[in-house]
Amino acid sequence: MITAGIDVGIENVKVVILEDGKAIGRSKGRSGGWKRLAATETALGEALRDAGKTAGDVSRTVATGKGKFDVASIAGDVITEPVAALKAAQFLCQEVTTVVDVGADETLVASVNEKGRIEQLVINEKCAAGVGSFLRNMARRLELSLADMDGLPPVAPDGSTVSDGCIVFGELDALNLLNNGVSAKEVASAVTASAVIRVTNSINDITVPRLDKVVLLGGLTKNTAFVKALNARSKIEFAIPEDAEYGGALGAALYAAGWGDSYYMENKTA
Amino acid sequence: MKGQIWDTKPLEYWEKAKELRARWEKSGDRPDKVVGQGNTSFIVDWQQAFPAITVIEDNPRGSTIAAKNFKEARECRLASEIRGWGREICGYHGVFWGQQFLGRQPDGSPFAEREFVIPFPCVCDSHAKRGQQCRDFKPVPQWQNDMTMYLGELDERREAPMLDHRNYCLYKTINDLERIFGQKFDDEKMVEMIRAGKEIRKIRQEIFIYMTYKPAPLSVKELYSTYALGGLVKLPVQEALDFWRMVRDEVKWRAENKVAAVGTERYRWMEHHPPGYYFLKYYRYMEKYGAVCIGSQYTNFTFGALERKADGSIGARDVPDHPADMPIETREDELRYTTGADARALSSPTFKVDEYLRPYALNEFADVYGVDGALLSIWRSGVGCTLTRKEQARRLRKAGISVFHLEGNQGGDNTDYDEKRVIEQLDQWMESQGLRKFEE
Ligand code: SF4
Repeated sequence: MITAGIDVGIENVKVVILEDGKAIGRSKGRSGGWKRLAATETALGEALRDAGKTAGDVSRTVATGKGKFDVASIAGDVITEPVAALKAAQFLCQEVTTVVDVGADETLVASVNEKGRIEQLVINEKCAAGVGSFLRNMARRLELSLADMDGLPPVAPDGSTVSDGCIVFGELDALNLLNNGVSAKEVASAVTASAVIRVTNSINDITVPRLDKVVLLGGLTKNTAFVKALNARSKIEFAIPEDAEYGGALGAALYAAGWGDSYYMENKTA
Repeated sequence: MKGQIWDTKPLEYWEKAKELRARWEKSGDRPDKVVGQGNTSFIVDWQQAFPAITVIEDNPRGSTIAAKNFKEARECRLASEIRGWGREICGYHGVFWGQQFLGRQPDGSPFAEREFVIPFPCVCDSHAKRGQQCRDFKPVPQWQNDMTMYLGELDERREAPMLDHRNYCLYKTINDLERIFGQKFDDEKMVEMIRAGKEIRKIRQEIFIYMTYKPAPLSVKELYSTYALGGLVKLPVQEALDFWRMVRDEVKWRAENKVAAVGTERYRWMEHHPPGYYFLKYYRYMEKYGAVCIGSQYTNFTFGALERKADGSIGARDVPDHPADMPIETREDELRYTTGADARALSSPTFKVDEYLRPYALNEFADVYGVDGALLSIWRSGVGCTLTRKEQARRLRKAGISVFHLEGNQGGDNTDYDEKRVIEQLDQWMESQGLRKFEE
């Protein structure tokens, strides 16, 4: 059986094509703001090409992510992000006890109980939204590539900090540091540290931590400076599976394929 | 109905509640009355013992406008803001005070000028600010509806002099009002109200016990349209008593016959304080998942809290109260009874001590009502409605209750409220609980 999972995020749309429990195609593109549907159609086409399949081969398509309702004409069903993240984490790492998904907009933390169900779920407060977008925008402003940021220390060596509350404040703080002659790399460290604080705050809101196997998913898994700083601050050794970046899309594709239990209670009418 | 599990039928008392409420909305600021502003009622609304004085409470008015008329609520808040009442002020007050500044009521009729003000102190400074706002507008007399508030456990030795002080203040307020406005305080009516107030409290607690039944015979959605009747929403005493008896009888029947408020009930959630009045539809939205809101810390304290007894049963929380046969012969007796009942039996051990115990109080509520999840808002303004939310969330989570937050300004202020985001998050929360929406 071939299924497609689509994760329509604030910044990117990602697609995974799954065949008999194996991801055979992937694609990623800008989610296109108000042109999400067109961006998704393009991404789906690319993923199918990557998999060597055609649209007619796909039995079921499920969408997740912030823009999931915008692609209703493509997806047969939608599921919310926590369920998609859980499915992906369980598929990629059977022993998962907590999943952390950090995207452009939202940070989601879900602890998983012995039955494989979400025990506690925390989503960032509004002020702490946009961690991924913030880091991307700041890297652009600082003219640093992901590779440049690779070796950054987890906190700025000269002690520079930017606001870890509101992102608008954080950005202004960063500009002030630059105006005061602080180097771009120092500022990048400070910016990364502030993003990490926002994410660890959400992790710390889980009051019965299950830290045996914490799986990190989402686009920020590609930002090694962020991951290192997050490891250092949270003291958690994250498992980052190969397809971590495609977590949402993979989870949706797995749901479409009926992988694992359905997760949902049956909607019966007495 | 899609997903119907339980029998349900419309509430019979609903029409009566609507009628009483509509009358109240029109009744307050009548030209033939001396109109004051502030708070005179927790358990006994003593202002009703004056023949022609009416005291308007800001909160129910502010929330009503916020719920029914977004445009007017916004105009009102802006009118308050340009006079320096910033967005940290409780939304109800921002809206309500705006009416005074704009000189109109929501129906366009003129705003009756206030002739006095009676604020009360509270953990929330917005409540206390009410006096200042009113007197800044026009130099009217102010009396303070003082409370016996302190941090810590109930302490009889601290409480006694505080109650003396309260009695003195109330005594003086009533004497002053008689003198200034030339009206006679009706002591017999006051005694009647005290007796009725005591019975209404008992009836409400019975209703609360029925609400612990599954399926819930009444959800908070109906309760919020009702609970202020006879309290903050002022009614003639006998009418209030009759109304609450009628509610109790119907709720009892529904509980015993498993007639649900919400036919889809399969998940129970709670809140802490009043809802965002501009977003009451979230109650209905959650019902699409079979999730029913059963109450809040706020309903708990206004109705009288429940507790789990040593033998495991559920009952009204034991609080020190005056003996039922305590003689009420003089005005001082009346006032002692009122301030005592108000300070000790109603507001204090539930509201005041819950303020102190707030981080724990919701756990007790969750246990008594068999709650699965809690939706706790984090408001950016109105301190009293947000204080300790995160602590409460942590404690509830530890007790195995799923907690979700909802963000905005305050229940009466939708300035920063992102409805789409909240709906999305409610979906995430419900799905994480294994619930999918019943088809629409
Ligand atoms: S913020 Fe809450 S506690 Fe404070 S005045 Fe408003 S309603 Fe009351």
